[in-house]
Amino acid sequence: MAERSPLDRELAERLAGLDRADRTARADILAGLVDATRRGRRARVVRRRAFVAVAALALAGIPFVSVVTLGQLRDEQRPLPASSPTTILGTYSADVTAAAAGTTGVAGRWTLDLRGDGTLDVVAPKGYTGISTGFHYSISGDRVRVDLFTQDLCTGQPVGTYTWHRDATGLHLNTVNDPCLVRATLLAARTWKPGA
Amino acid sequence: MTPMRLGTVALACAVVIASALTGCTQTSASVAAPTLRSVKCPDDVELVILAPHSCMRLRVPEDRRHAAGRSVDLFVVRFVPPGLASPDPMLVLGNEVGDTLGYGSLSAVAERVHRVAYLLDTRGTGHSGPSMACPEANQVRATTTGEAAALGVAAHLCLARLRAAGDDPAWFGPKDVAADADALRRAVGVPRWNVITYGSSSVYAAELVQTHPATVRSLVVDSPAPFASQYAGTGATWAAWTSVATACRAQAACAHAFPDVKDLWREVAQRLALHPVPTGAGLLDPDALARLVRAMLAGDGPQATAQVPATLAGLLRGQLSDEATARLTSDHGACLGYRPVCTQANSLAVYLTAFCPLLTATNGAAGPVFPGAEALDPANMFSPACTGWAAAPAATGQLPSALPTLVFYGAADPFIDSAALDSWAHRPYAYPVDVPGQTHNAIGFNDCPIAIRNAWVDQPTSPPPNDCLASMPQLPFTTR
Repeated sequence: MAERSPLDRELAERLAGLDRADRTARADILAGLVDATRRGRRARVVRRRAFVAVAALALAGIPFVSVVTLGQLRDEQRPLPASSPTTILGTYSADVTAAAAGTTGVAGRWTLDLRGDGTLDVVAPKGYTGISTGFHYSISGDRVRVDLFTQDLCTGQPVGTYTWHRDATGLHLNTVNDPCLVRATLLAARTWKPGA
Repeated sequence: MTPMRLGTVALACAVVIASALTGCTQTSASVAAPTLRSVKCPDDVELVILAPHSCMRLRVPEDRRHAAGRSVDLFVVRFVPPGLASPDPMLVLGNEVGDTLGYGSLSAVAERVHRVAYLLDTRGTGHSGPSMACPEANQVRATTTGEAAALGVAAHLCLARLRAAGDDPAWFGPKDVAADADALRRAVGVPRWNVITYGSSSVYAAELVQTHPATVRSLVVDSPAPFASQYAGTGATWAAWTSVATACRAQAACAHAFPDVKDLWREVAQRLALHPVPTGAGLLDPDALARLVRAMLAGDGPQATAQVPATLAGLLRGQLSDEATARLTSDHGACLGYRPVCTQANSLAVYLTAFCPLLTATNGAAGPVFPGAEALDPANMFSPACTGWAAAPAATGQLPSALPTLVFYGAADPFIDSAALDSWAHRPYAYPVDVPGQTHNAIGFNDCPIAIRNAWVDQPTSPPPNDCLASMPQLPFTTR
């Protein structure tokens, strides 16, 4: 057997190293493939079991989910009403004289803020002691429906319906149908000037 | 995410959903699965609501002992707040027992507490079918001669009609309403929620928190009915009147207009005992007067309460106010002075089922001694109706000691007394709030108690932030 030169030994060691690395790599790859296959099988089993569980659940839960699903009842974010014309949005103020208010108790300066999410914020005169929060409006063409005072002064009565238009002087509301006298007294037949 | 994790998550979700659907806290094989479905909102609901909402119906067994039998259809309105909703929704569990919900009045609850809100028309009332209304009693009013007997006849005619149709009012008591509420909770898939009641529907909440304590995060009761105590009748009314008379004397204009305000009721009663006043619906005698006074003290709201001195002074002059006339002529089902709110949309059979035991019990609370005062004790009026009525009263056990509870009441409320308040308080996280200048439905007529409620629901184990109570308005007395 001829003695190998240092170069030969180096080459032989490198080749052996490569071979070991190759074998290791191949083994790793093989192990990885086996593992992946096993994981894949397991995942398929899990998916199959999950599917079976969900299907069984769906069948068992037909009385619930066939009509109202939990997804439908998510605490979703309420979108802005798409139909709200931006021209009515904004803040308006008006003064109600004691003579105009009569016995309704709404004399003084009122501010209405019609917001894009369909809520109506109100700033009432200091002397007003009723509810001034939690109001809404909705727009359909030239009609606006308003539930102002729905909790106390107008409780149990349908919301009021008004026509609206806005010009250089401000917002104008005219009663179409409002069974609540207090609300109609405040809102209608006056100019709501822009601003607080 | 690996497939394994996906699968695990899917399984976990399935288990969670299954738990939610079948009820984490209570599963009963004898109770058929409730059915929840979306429905078009009735026209009368759409007329009074502008806030974004949807309507649903929940079908549950009418008699839970026979789940395969008849069912009842519960009407539910769901409100979603603007922006991101906090977890743990709000359940509005009925109105005064037997009354229809004020859908419009309650339409801002969701945005005020920034939570999804569910309004439940309790079984037998409002849009929940079958109706337990008793139109047979519509003509029985405070000015009816032999009113108690007439109410008894009408109630039993109603009972016979309902039973003949297969609907026994005994299935429409607080226990069943509490079970309905929990069925709704499971159907909408929430583990726990906040509960609010107005007036006597507190008896439903009392039942719910005892039978499903882990599902109620917090409880708000506004002007609650007595829990495990007697009906607040004569004594409560006299205390409320005394409070109003004191408030009148503290306001210069009222004190000047009615210098002997506390004696007004007695003087009018004595005069009516001799000379009853004709009304459009019969004679106003001392008994009817006592009930009229109590009804006006209860509201709606402090505006009505503040009219009582002027109304009594007018009667001394022989004048019956429009407000008094309207209440006397629109009375029905012996409501005036016995129930805080008298609307036509009442289911008398539900009321009797829940309250006959309280209505017919003797109450030892002291009241005034003058003609008509004894009429405020409901025992005589309701005994004929309640005899033979299969009542299903509310639970009288212990409220969960750690349940955060906010109790609103007004000093002018003639339907609540100290015994009733005591029954709801005296627990570590129970917070009674005396709302100045208010009466029954103490949270319903000013932004301050509403703001207190809104803030407290977020932190229900802390005392409510009551600062605004110091600037509450006084009773707005009318002097003419």
